[in-house]
Formats: sequence, C-alpha cells, structure tokens
Amino acid sequence: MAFYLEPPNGNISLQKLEKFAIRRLNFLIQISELESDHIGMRDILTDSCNVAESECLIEGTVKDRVSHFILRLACSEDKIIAAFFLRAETALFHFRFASMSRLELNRFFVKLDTYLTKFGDCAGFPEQNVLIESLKPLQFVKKVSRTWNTATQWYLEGSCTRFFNVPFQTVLHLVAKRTVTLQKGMAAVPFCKLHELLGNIFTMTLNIGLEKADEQRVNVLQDERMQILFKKVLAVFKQRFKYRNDNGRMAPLSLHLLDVESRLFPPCMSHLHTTLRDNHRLRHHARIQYTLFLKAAGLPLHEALVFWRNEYSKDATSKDGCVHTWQEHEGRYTYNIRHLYGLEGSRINYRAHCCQSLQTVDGGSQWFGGCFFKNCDSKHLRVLLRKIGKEDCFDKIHQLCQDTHYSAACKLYSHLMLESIKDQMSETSCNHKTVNSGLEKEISAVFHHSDSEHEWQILRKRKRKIIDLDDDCDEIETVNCRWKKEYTNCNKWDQTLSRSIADPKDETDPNRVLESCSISSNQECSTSSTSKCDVNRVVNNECEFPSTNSEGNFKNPESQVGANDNGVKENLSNAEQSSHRKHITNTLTTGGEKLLSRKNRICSTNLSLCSGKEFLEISHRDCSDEGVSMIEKSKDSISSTSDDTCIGKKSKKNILIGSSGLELDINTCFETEVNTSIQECDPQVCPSQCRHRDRTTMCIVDSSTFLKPVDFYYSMKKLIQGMKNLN
Amino acid sequence: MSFSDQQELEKEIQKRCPYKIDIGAVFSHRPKDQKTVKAAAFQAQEKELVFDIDMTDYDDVRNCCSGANICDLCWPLMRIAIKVVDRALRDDFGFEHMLWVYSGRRGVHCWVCDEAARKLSQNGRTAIAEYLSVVRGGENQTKKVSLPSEDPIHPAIRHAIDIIHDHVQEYLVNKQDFLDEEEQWQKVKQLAEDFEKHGTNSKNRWAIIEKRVEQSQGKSNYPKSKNLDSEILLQFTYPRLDVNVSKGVNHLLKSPFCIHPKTGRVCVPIDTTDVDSFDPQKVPTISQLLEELDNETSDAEGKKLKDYKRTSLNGSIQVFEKFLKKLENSWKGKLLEQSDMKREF
Repeated sequence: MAFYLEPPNGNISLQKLEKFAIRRLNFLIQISELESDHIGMRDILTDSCNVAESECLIEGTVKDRVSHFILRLACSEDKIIAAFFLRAETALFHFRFASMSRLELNRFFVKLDTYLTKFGDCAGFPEQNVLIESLKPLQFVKKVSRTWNTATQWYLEGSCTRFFNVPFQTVLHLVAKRTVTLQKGMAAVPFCKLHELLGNIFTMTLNIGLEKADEQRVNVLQDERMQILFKKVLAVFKQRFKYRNDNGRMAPLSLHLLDVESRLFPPCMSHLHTTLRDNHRLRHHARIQYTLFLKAAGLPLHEALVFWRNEYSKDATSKDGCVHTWQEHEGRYTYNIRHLYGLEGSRINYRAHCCQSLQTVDGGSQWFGGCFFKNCDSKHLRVLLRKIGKEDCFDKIHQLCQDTHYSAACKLYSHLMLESIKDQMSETSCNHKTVNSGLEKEISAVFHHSDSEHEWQILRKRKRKIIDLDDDCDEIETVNCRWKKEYTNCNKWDQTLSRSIADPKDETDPNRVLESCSISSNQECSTSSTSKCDVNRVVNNECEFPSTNSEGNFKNPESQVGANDNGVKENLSNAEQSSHRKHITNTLTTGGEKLLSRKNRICSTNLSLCSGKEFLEISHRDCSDEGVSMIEKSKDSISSTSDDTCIGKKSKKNILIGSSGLELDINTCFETEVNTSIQECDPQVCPSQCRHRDRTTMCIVDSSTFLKPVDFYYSMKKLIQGMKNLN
Repeated sequence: MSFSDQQELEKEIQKRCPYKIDIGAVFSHRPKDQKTVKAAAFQAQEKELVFDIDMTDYDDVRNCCSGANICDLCWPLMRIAIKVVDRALRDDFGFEHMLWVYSGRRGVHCWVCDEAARKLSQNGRTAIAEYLSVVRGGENQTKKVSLPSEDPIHPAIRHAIDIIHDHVQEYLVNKQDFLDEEEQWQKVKQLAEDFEKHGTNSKNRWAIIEKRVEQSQGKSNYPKSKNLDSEILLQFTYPRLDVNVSKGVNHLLKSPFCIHPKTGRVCVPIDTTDVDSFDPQKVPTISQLLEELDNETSDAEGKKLKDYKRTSLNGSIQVFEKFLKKLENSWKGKLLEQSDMKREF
C-alpha cells in the first residue's frame, strides 16, 4: 500500500538494508530536484541509472517498504533531512497516485478503508489514534460516493460538479488559493481534486510516522550496526546537498563600493538598496532580507553596522511614517544586526533567504521585498529593463513571469544585464570585440555550468592566453587554422561515438546517423556562430593541448567503436548504468579531456545543475590513476552500456512505472527511447533539460537557475571581472 | 515568563507592575526551563489564532492621514476589516469565539479562541491568512487586486464585496473622497487602462466606473474590466492582514486591556455586533481612568461597586465577559462530554 502505514516484518541482511536505503535516497534526491514535475519524474524513472535500482521503487514490494521505513528512521533525526524526505516522498506519492489505473485506485481506497474500519473503532491504541484521525477524512468522501468504485470513477472523469465535504485542515493549500468554498469549517472539494486530499493525508501520516520514528530511533541506535548505517545514509545526503559555502573566495564586499556593487545585485536586492538609499528606511522583513543578503555577499559586521547607522540616522522620507531613528533605538538595531550575524541570542548563523522562499512569501499590499519578478507588474518590469537598455526583451520576461517561472525570468534578466554591460565595455575597446565574444561564450558556459573554483581558474588561464594571443594576431590565424583542422577531427569522432552509443545495431541506418549528426551540429550552432567559432575553439581547446596527443587519443575511441560492432554482449547483463556514465566520462577524459570539456560547454544549455556537479566530481578525479584501467574496461562496456540503455530500458522502465501506467507508457516509452538514446551521446544531457530548451529557445538560458540571490551577484561579479581583466 | 495558574499570574503582576503584557503560546515545558530540555522537546503546543490589522498598511489608499495616525475618516476601514474577517472566520471556517481588540493606537487585533483554532499548525494558520488576503503585490504593483475573470468570484470575496458596498457611499465617496484629486483619478484610471471619460469629483467619477463595468458585462472585448469595480473597491478597502503575525505559533501579541505606551489608551475589546458605533477616539486613556477612579469614590446609592464598574471601561469589560462566558460554556459542554465518555468505559 502506497501509504506505508505499517512497517514490514521479517529478517533482512544488513548489506541489503544499506543498499536499499542508499538507492532510495539517491532516487529521492533526484525527485526533490524536480519540484514535482510529472514529466520530469517519468524521465527519472526511465533514466537508465535508476532502472537497475528499480526494485526499491515499485510500489507495494517488500523492498519498497523496507527502504522507505529504514530511511524514515534515518531521516527523522535531522529536521532539514526529515523535511526533505517528507517532500520527496510526497512527490513520489503524487506521481504514483496519478499513474494508478482505475482498478488500482479502487483497490488502494478499499485497502485504506479496511485499515480504517479495522482500527477505527479501537480506542485502545492511543498511538494509533493520531494516524487513524488523519485518515478519517476519507470517510467524508465515501459518504458522498457511497462506494469507492464511484469515487474512483468520478475522480478519473475529472468531475468538477460533484463535491465532497472535508474539514478545511485537510486541504489547506486549496483553502489558501481560495479554490474551494468553505462552509462552517468544511471545504467543498470537487472530485477532480481528490488527489490533493490524498496527497495531504499522505503528508500527514508520514509526518506522524516521522515523529514516531524519532522517538523509536533511540532504541534502534543501541545497535551499533544501525549507527554506522545511518551515518552512511546521512553522508550520502550531505554530499548531494552540500550547502555551497563559497562565499570566502570572493573579495569581501566593502562599504564604499556598495553603491557600485549594488548594480550587480539581483533585482530583488538592488531594489531594496535603492529604496533604502532613497527613503533611508526599510520595513522589518525587507531589512532582515537585505541584511542577510549583504552578510552572504561578504559585508563584514562592523561595516554592516556603519551602513545601517548611516541610513537610519537620516530622516525618513518614505510615506510610511517610520519615526524610528538610529539614535533613539541604537541598542535594538545593533542587537538585530548582530543577531542576524549570529552573535546574539540563540546565536544561530542565519542563512540568507533562498530564491524559493523569496518566491513563496506573500506579505500583502505594503510588502517590500520578496522576489522581484513575482511581485512586479508590467510597468515596473518595463522600467527595470529600460535601465539596462533591453526593453525589447520585455515580452519574453513578462511571459515567464506570467507563467510563474520567476527563476527563469531572473536568469534571462542576468543574461540581458551581462550583455548590456558587455556592450558598454566593448564600446570602449572595439578591437577586443572578437576575443570578447569568444570569451563571453566561454564565460556563459562556465556560468551555467557550476561555480567551481577549478573552472574559474581554467578560465583565468585562458584569459591570459588570449591576451597573449591577442598581442600577436598572426599567431591567431595560424592557431585558428590548426584548430579548425583539429575541430573537424573532433567532430567526426563525436559523431561516430554518439552514433555508436545511440544504437550500435543501427549503425547502418543512415537516418539514425543523420539524426545524431544533426543533433550535435545543432548544439554547435546554438551556442556559436560560425564566424566566432574559431576563436571559441582557441579559447576552449587551448594550445597546451598538443595536437599530436589528441589525435592519438582520438584514434583510440574510434577503434573502440569498431570493436563495438562485434559487441561484447556478455557484459550486457552485469553492466551497471552507473558505470555507463563513469566509463564514458573516463574514456573521454583520457581520450581527450579538452574535447569533453568543449563538448560539455557546447551542451551547457542542457546541463542541469546536478549533472553538472556530478560531471565535475568525476572529471576532477585524477584520471591518471584510474584512467588507464578504466579505458580498458570502457572498451568493453561502451557497447554494453549503449545496449543496456536500449534494452534495459525497454524491459525495466515499464515495470518501474507500475503496471498501471503501462498503456500510457508503452507509447511514450518508445518515443522517448529514440530521443534519450540520441541524447545519451552526451552523458551529461539531462532529458528534462532538453524539454526546457524546446520550450524556451532564448539565447542560452538553461534551468540551472540561481538558488540564492547571492548566486546572481557572484556570477555577475565573476563574469564582469573576467571581462575587465581581458580588457 | 510562564504561569501555571491564575494565582501565580496575579501575584507576579502585582509584584512587578508590568508596563505591558504580551501573550504567546502554551509550551510543552516552562519557557524558563527551556535550556534544561532538548530543543526538539520544547515546542509550542497551542496558541490562539491571531490576526493583526494595522492602519499603516492602508497608507496608499488613505487620504486623511498616514503612518500611525488615525482619524474618523479612515477608521471605517477597520470597521470593514472587522466585518469581513469576522464573517469569514465565522461562516467559512466555523469558528465561534472571536475576540476583537482595539490595539490602542492604529489597528485592531483578533483572537480566535476555538479549540480547533488554537491547535492549528503553522501551515493551517498560513493557509487561513492567505485565504483572507486579497490585496497583494507590494509596492511594485499598481493593480493589487486581480480577480480571475473567467471564473465566478469566490463566495468569500463576494460576501466581502457585499459588506464593502454598504460602505462605499459613506466611506469612500463622502469621507475619503477617494477620486477627488486628479492624481488619484489617474491612478485608478491606470488600473483600468482604457478609460477616456473625465469626471469632476468622486461621486460622478465612481458613477463612470460603475457604468463602464455595467456596459462591459455583456461584452467579451473588455475582459479586463469585467470585475473592475469590485477590484477597485477591494484594493481600496479590503482588509490588509499582517500575515506574519498570524502565521507563527510563536508570535507574541499584546494582551487585551493593556495600555498602549504611546497613546495611553486601553486596548479594549470591540463588540462585533456593534462595530459601527465603536470610536477609537473615545476609548478611555489611563489618565482618564485614574481621574474617574479618584472622582467618584462611591455610587450614588451608596453601594460599594467594584472599581472598574465605576469607570468608562465598564462597557468594554462587559463585552469581554460576554465573550468569556460563551467560551466557558463551550468548555463545559466539552468537559461534560469527556466525563460521559469516562462513564461509558
């Protein structure tokens, strides 16, 4: 039963327990990055990496329950992790519920109902009571429909005219949006929204379960083996959810530069800055928001105190009638700021607001702050764009705001801002134009990629190179020619490789080859115009990568491809998908590290944040150790992995989604089959990102959006610094 | 500070003579023992659902005063707010025990004391506050109320509009004269974006808008102005809650019958059945009360009366006692039920 009301009984080996827990956790982490996007969820389920691990995820299996309950125990300790667990499991439940067939739904409801009637009357179990209480709203549904069969039918028909009445506490988010009508505390919910009720009940039961698990963990932890297991699980979580604590590497923000720097702040913050400078006052929450942002941006405490003191010492010019002054309330203001810096009271080192929380707050009419793109109307947006001279893009951004893609709007805005700054700079130095555009590409690639220090260093090196090159234009020409040749080589190899991965059996199929070629060439075109291409190559591939070496390496994979044709099919069954990515990456790293990074940059449009990180992790690993042995293995596995993506998917994907979704999925399955296998030519391509690209084909916006306002500032600062250095 | 019973509280108040009292949640442990228990174990168990409506939030739609000042011209906003929110809490959410209290200066507080309300989770509180907020968008949005034009208006808002309609002439047109100045008229016109006509004063300008909406009701080419009159009304008068106060279980709120430190006025309860006659300017101040106490030492008939009954606070205390009586009755019912249950077993 999808509700996990009772833990499973029996014996299980410790190794299995650990394996299941970590598999499920990895899967949940992937889910949580999606924000309950059902198509994306299907992509994850059909993603070859998860196919091998599918047993933990098929609803109702023992492994599903075992992995759920062990994670519940492990996650209940830490509040943040518990919240994550709750969110991801709820998303999974929503997906499962949505893909259930009528029969399954009926069975599901009847099961819940039996559970309810079985325990509902026993008042003797107090700890069970809370759980039962949270399931009770189901009885209200049944009262209307009489049988679950009818209820299921009405739900599947999407009936908006038949209602059931439940206490408003069970459908809070519908109440908040005023999509239901209320009468004396009872909400009239149409049957088409039955899933919302079920989702809420699921969250409630799981919440109760987590509390219970927290109480029981003490007993469990007496077993030393469990302690070790939990530690491992938490380590996996922390590794994936590393709070990016990269504030240290930028020069700290200093007060006298604040006005200049504030132009690089995201609109939500630069807006607060100008308001503060104009009115000398901010409202309470806006003040907290801005103080924490400045703290994250590197403003030291003593400067923050000076900053706020200066502003609050001036008379308020705003209409809101704030009469407080620094002099009068110095103690309070200093305490507040010190408190936010973690030096007073409970001494919590507060993190600055993340974009998500700024997007969700709603402070009413006088609200100051929050996400700019959420709260602005067309007029204010136009003013904002006029400031950077990009009013022509108004429609695009406005549309994104309308569709509530605030992060995408912010991302697009950052690009526009960068362009406008670049325009200003190139006006002052025309002769660097070509190099600039090349670097800009590079920059934007890194920008999308990940904020890793390593990448930035590479970029810096390249900058120096370009400046050197720039001094000698003739050399550029020769280098260009050489790299042109190199490039065609690379491309050829690209194609062969991608073709072979796409489907080794279809090698002879000219269409397939064409398709994969066009994909890769599209990707080329999307990021670079041909005229600037060459400079771009120089930037990307760098001179330190000797041509002979690369050519030698290129032959290597090509021979692999040849070997693939014969196919080492024995490996097929035991080749794991996780190795697929690793192998290819390693092959590529040794085969042509630069080639990969170039390719990767070209595809940066498609890079999701997570896969980008993962890639970096892999590529950062010193491949000289592992690489040699890996390349041997990869020869064998490259064929098997590609086979596995095709065959493995066909067989396992459907089971995974659950027999219910079968009819639905068999069609989409084959469709995506072709797509994903072609896209697999770059292991970093995340299918969900491809859809984004289709939807919004605007410059180079990807979905690796900013997570925190301060990310915006950092990336802007970095890029502009890069451009400045160049000039 | 926490107290386990009335005596303890009484003793402490007499000893300390507090300047003002804020009330928070009921916790699982005494707050002063907070450090002795695990952080996770120290949790707020229940608290009244509270709402805070503050006149400063209306600054962009008030012509008479701004900031902390209030006057007879803008107080109707609070009357509307009390009526709208009280109705929604009573009819939609089914709460019965709402105590509305004048905050002493520029706003009102509402304490919802039903058991269901006290035990609400943070999410529940947030949802109710969201349900009750219509005016959104902050200062970056000129048009702060948008009703979905395709769906019928939600009954809660429909009721609110009905309540507001009772006040349009009296409050908006006569008292605030909300469309009188050219600047304001321009503002309102901006909301609609397709006006050409000019009026000369609030009365006929409002008539223009109403006519306009009537005309466009049948037509499809003015989707924007279908609910325009309602939207304007809501933007100008709909209650603006301070959502953050309602959301948190840990938020403190000033106790009824405190003295506001700036104005000296007593935070008196407001009778919801007679909201219209409540006048914040007539709320007794502390000095007034002291005077009253000094002046009349005994009743005309010579009977000894309780001190508060001799002052102008008497009326408000009766309101409060009525409220408590009702609350007590609901508890009695509850206790009876519980004892019934026990007998059964």
